[in-house]
Amino acid sequence: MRWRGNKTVGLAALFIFWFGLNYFTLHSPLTLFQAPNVESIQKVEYVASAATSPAALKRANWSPQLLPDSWNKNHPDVEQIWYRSHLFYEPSSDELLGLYIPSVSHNAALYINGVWVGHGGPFNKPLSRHHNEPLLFSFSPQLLHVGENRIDIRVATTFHDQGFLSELYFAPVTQLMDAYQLKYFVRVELIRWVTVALFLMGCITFSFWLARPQDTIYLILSMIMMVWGTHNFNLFVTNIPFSTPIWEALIMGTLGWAVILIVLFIQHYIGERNKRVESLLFVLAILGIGIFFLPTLEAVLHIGYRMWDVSLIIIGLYAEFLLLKEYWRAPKRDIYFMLFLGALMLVFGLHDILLVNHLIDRQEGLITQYAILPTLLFFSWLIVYRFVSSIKRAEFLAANLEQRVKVKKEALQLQFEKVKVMEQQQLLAQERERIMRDMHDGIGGHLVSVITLLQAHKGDVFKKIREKAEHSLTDLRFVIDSLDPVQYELPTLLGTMRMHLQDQLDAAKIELEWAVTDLPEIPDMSPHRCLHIMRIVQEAFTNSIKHARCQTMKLMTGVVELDAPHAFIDIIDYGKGFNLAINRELSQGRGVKNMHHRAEQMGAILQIDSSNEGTRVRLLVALELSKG
Amino acid sequence: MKRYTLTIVEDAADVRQRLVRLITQHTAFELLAVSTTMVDGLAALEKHKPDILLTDLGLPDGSGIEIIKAIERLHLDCEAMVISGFQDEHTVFDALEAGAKAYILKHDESQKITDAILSMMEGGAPISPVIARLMLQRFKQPPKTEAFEPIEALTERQSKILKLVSQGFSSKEIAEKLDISYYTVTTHIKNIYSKLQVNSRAEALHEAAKLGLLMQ
Repeated sequence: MRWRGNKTVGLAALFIFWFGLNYFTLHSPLTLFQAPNVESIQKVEYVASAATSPAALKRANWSPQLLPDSWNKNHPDVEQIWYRSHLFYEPSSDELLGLYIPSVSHNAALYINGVWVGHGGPFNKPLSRHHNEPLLFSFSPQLLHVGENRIDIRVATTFHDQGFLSELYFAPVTQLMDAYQLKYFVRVELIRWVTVALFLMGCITFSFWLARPQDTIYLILSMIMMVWGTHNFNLFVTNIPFSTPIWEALIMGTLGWAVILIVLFIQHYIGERNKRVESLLFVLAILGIGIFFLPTLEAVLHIGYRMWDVSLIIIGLYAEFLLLKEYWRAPKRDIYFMLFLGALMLVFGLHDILLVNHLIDRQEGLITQYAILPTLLFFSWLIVYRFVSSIKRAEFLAANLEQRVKVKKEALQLQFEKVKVMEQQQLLAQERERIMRDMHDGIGGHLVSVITLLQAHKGDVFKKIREKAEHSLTDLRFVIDSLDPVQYELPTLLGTMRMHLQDQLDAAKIELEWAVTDLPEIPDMSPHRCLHIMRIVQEAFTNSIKHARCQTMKLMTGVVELDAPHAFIDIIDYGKGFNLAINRELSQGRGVKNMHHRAEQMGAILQIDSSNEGTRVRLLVALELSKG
Repeated sequence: MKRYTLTIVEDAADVRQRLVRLITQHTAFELLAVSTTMVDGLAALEKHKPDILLTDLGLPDGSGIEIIKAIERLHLDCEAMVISGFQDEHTVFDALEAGAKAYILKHDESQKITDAILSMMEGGAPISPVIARLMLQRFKQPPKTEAFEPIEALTERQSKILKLVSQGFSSKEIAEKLDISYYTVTTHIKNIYSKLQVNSRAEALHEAAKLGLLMQ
């Protein structure tokens, strides 16, 4: 809900701004420029005449006129008017004098006492255009007489109802300069530089597009800049290179295309492209070309100012609506800012349309160019921001990629090692399988058969042979078992051994107490270590069965902490025991020696304790891999 | 006394002759057929519908496991017993998965062999530490296919029994340790065998279904 609240507040602020701007721009007279601090000339006489010099006006019929004079209202059907004013001059200094015309449409020339002082530009067609440019004529005081002087101003317009002359200011140039320069800077100089900047930015953006043709938005933005830059020519090009109708068509066309492109830009930016609207805009843009083919200037201005400009306002409203919709869907700051700029453009655009259609005082001048400036700056910033963000994202991804590659590499390494282990196990299993096949009806089977056969025969020799055969069979079993990864679990290994030992124990009438417990996994188990453990345990049992004369034995496992945790296997007999120092046969016999040797080989500890209560053989296997 | 009917499938002549002698001499058994190949073994099984199938696994034309599987398929009331070679527990385990109930070692003493068959018919289930360990592994991780969930899981008691077997304890010792009867221990083991078979069958079906799905 808080979200929605913020959205509503945001929109309320936008509409307040919109209406405020609308009021101050359209409903209160817009006086952007301070008039010079001298009295203005308002009362003049005029005569509508095509004369090219004041000398031709001797017999003219002059009528009074108040300045500013908008021809559309006062003299709708003329294309040139001569204005005359009488000045009283009292020489005070040799200072340069000036006549300042803040606004004229389209061209003016100044004559003092019948002498030509200067003009905005040539009067022949195409007429020089100064509708956006203040004029300041400066002249020597020697041109004036003491007392009354006659000033004649020739004003011509390209199209009859566009003619206009503002109030005039007569004073020493120094007093007029500030007002003139400020207005000239804001109206002309600034716009000229902005136009240069627009073309430059347009070129840069266009090169962006060349580098990434899939990003159409760069192309659109560069076109907006170029097209608007061209449109700006209207504001500072005074001597146009071709005829006025074509020039007007160009200015109107570029305005329309810029607006259409802006809508396209917004659609692309939001990512919501309405194909139907796009087609409609395309058709409109094509129709815009039609303006160039209109037969007369009147037709150009009529179609342009009425139909073309009004349709542009509608397109502009649609763009604003798009932005509003997007903002309502996801209130983002960039869209919000665009909404403000859109409102600015719409109001300023409306102002200019009203102005060219004589509904607003022509003296105020065109202002849309000042709305397009922040808009284009913002668009450019957006694009640069996008560009920088994508570079940042690419950098982040690249950095991340390195990290991801590292992680993957480690995982692969691990996987590889696992596979290696599995391959080894597989090989082992295959090898085991092969040996098993060999054993199946081969040596193992034969040994079993031999033992079974020998069981039927009494006698020492047979017994000895049988013992040997049984020993061989046990050995064989150990070798095969050691290849089985299941046996790497120490309790299972011991359990399997028990099965094999059971016959021997039964024969010797020895009871076995079994006390195997859960044990942690022995690290680094291998067939090699497996075999060592089995042989040590087997040897311990064999010794006890042979020599201890016991009735009970015990096998016990557990974990004991020495310097590190060790698993222990105790083989205990409760027999007569032996003195390690005295019983050379046992303690130094091959069996015990072998046990020690094997323990050493597998890095285990073997402890043998014997007393007259029995013997304990303890095998200790480390549960942690030794470092280094 | 009821005599158990038997068929034998074994390709090794000496083992086969010994078994035939052993069975025919024993009053508890009636030998119906002896085969040397998988195909013959299957035919004999279908024809005679014996109480006991005694089969070797490595046969010249296939595996004895196929004959064991046929029991289930043909809905026969027959207990399969594997004639195993020397220390062949991994293969025996495969046979248990297929539905075998027990195994004998072909070089075991005669008495042991007949005892084992009778013990099976009375509900006994032989097991070794290695087989118990393999069982635990099998039930712990549903193998190969990730999607496959074993239908039958071990009870806590069954796991405990398997663990003790894998550690080398005898059924008698386990009964004492868990304070249950010897008979209960063997029943548990038998049940575990059944669960193993159910799971393996379900997994085979699952695999087949998956293959079928891929083929579409």
